[in-house]
Amino acid sequence: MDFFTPAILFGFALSLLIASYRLVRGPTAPDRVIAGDAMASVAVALLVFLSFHYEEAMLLDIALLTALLGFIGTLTIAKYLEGREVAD
Amino acid sequence: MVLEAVGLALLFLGLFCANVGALGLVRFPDVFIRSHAATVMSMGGAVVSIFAVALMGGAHNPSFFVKACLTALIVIFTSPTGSHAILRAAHKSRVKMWEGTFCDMLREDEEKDG
Repeated sequence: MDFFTPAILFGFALSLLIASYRLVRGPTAPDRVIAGDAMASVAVALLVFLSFHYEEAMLLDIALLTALLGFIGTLTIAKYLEGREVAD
Repeated sequence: MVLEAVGLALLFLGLFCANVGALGLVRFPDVFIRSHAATVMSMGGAVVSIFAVALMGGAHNPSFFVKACLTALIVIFTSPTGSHAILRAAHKSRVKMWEGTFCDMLREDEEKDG
């Protein structure tokens, strides 16, 4: 199992890196929010994997909390963006 | 042992989906199409990976399995809801669509109602 750990961590890091391009460049605000939301989901998966790897139960609670807080943040920004014109 | 092998295979499937979704997030032309790639990333990538790690860790530790499955369930419920909310806001604030878009029934309904 430990043999695959670097490959798994590299896979998570690569997907986060590629998605962060859209987070930085994304022409409109919803682009950034969508990229951030997807990245938060992958970060939750990464936290669950780290919790398994280090056998640290606390990281699992942090993953749960990250999922919930990311959802609340997305809804808040959606409410904020609704009804205003977004420049390209 | 079998559970760990299945979990490892599922984990690599999830990583593949996460990377394909991230690539789509970069390559697709507008917000509404990019949200498809974002959903591939959170559903195919994150949920499958979390479930795979739950299988791998749950073989020896049942509470880990339950907690990880709960996390996967939360992502399953919240990710489409947040995606829907943000795209509805984007549609309402008239984010420019890709020029190849030929069907927008929500806009047609809004114009019909006045």
